[in-house]
Amino acid sequence: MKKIINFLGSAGFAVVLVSLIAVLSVAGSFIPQGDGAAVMDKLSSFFGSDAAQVHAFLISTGLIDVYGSAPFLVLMFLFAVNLVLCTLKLVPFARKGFNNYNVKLAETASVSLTEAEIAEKLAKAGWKSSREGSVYRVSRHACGRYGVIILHAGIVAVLLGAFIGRTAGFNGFMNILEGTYDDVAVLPSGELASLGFEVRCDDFEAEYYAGTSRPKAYTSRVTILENGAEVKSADIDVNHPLKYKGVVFYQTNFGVYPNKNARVRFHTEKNGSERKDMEVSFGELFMLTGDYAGKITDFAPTLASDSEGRIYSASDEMNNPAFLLEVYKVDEPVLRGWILKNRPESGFIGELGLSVVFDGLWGIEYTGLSVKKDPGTPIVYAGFAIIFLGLIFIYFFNYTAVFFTVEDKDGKRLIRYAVRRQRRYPFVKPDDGFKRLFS
Amino acid sequence: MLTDLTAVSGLLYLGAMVFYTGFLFFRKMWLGRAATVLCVLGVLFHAGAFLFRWKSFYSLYGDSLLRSVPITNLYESLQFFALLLMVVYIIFEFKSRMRAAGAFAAAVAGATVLFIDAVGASGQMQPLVPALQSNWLLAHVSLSFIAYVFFALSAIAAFLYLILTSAKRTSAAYIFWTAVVGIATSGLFALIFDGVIAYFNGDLAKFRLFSATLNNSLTAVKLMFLFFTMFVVLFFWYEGLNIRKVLGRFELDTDKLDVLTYKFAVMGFAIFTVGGLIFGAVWAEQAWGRYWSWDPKETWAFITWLVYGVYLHGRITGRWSKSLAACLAVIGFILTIFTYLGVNLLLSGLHSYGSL
Repeated sequence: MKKIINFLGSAGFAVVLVSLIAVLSVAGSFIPQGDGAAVMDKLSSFFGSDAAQVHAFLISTGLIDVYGSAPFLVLMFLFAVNLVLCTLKLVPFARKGFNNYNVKLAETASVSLTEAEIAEKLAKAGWKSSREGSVYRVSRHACGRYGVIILHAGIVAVLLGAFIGRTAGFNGFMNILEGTYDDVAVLPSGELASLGFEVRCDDFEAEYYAGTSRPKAYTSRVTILENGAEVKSADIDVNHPLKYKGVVFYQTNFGVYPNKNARVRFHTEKNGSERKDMEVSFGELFMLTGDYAGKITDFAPTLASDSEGRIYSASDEMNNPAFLLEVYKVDEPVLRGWILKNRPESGFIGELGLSVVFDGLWGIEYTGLSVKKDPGTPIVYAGFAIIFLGLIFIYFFNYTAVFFTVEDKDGKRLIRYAVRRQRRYPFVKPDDGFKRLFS
Repeated sequence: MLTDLTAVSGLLYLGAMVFYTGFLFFRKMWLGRAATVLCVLGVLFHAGAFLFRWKSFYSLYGDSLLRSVPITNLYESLQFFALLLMVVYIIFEFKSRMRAAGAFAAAVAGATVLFIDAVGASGQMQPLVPALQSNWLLAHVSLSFIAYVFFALSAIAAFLYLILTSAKRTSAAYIFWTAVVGIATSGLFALIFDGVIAYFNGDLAKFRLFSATLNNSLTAVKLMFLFFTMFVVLFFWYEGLNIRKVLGRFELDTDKLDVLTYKFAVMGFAIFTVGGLIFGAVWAEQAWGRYWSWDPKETWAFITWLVYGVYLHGRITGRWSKSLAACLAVIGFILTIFTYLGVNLLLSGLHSYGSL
């Protein structure tokens, strides 16, 4: 038993563990991870028609999810065990410090103070003293002894928190169409996790920097419902998640889902005034002005034109949405044209003296939210704080003990001393203070 | 105006490198002083360009001064790295009164600055995508780069140590350092080929990394480049002892280099742990909903962290030879470069802000 514990806590075992963890990590960074179409795309681009076989191989070996695979988790567990055992070995020193009084006192200093005055001066400067026989020991920065232990404890806490998060929490996503609600999150495995409340997407808005396709902001306006009653409304932005009952929602995705319930919002202006706001469905006939009726028959999220002037939708992002308006006069089609949101002049119909201005679409975009429940996060964060504390202890406190004797010599006091420092190449040297006191 | 300023600072760094080298060879104090003056001037110009860009970014897109700091793409971050490297180097020089590493630091910084200008990595200012709109940007990115700079300085000291202490062509440390220099030199040539071809094509938008060498569609070109690399490595392996002889004339204290390697690595490690990993995790939790998602950049940062951790423990226990420790410090910095550049250029992931 003792042999096993010694092995698990040995430096050699640590090197083996770290090497294996590093090798698996590297593998995971090159092999496409997880399920989904993106992984297959990547594999296809490398292996062509063999992609399916490679995929099957990756799944059977667990390489498709390296960081969640049993070998990796076992390695991480053993790493934590190794860390704890190695750290325990540091405890005796941390408790006692340098306690061998039988050291060679090679350095000397000569002062005209009495022995009592020397002790008083050291105490004033913050040195804690003890004595064994004629040898004094004074020490400073004693808390520095615990630095490494604290740092390691922080790392163990992070690992523990991550483990709790893995076992007791979930990581999923939900896509919610504007105007609808959902109460389950889809997990990567395809299973569903029930939230116990409903999330309704009231509106999703993707904003772009003017004249570019560079996104500026993604915002979802959502409402939380419990038993049909609205309990909370909030905006979710990237960098501004929403937290409710331990579940956190993050803005991570969005898209367009063309469907028959979508509604187009626009307004018309006759001769530059007489504003009329409208909201219509696709294919619905509505009165435009006078004898003219209109019908919206098509929609494109990002309109662009090719070299021959033909119009096509460049992407699924709602960067420059447009709708196709057909105008009828007593059932006879007379006009049709695309009306672009970012180019208001496209909505001017000269024959009718009418401007049609595209205000927005509703019920066609969905928001993609990451949904997470992770009871381990506070422990991970505590681990971060502990690591930070440990670093401060290590870098700003350098446990130092000075052993010395005091003798009378020629009416003065001769101090013979030796310095023991915990850190070999320290950033702070308390013993400089000791030397300064008696120079 | 802006690129002019940075180009001036790049030239000043290269000038400083020349003077540092001259100082090392001829041991004339005025050469060393001139090198320092050129360095300081370079930093002033560079810092001016940096602040100017910061200000322009703020007045163009900025909603907050903290979020306008220009460190958001490859161009900006490389500039920032070079600037920081020189700032830290100058502080180091003033504190230690040691000018031996000056030629290396100035060469790295100067080459970086001129390289970015030459390849034409997008120097355009681009407004921030949603994930970057956070105050963590400044804390996480700038501290990560400060750590990189310390790792770079640690590697420079380790390299000098390895060159000076390995006296036999058959020793592992000798083979290691000559191979690293050989491969790095060959890689630099590959970049120069890329640059020349991109320049003659006249279309920088089509620039593809290593398209003139390893990434070429012709297998023959790839093979030729591999042979070229082997040749360069063998050249350094053969000539390494002469390089050692030349460097030996500077009478550098190898024990001091070993301690410097350690101290710089220790500084870098602490800053990397806090700024790179912890701040990064906190920010990721806020922006993406997961403090750690094994994104390639995170993974490689983790591997880098592990290697420096191993280095520090190896040093503390005192069981390692100093050469082995120095090799590991160099490997650590190679991993750092890969975490920074390789991941951006070769692997896609959440951190894909830093592409050309």
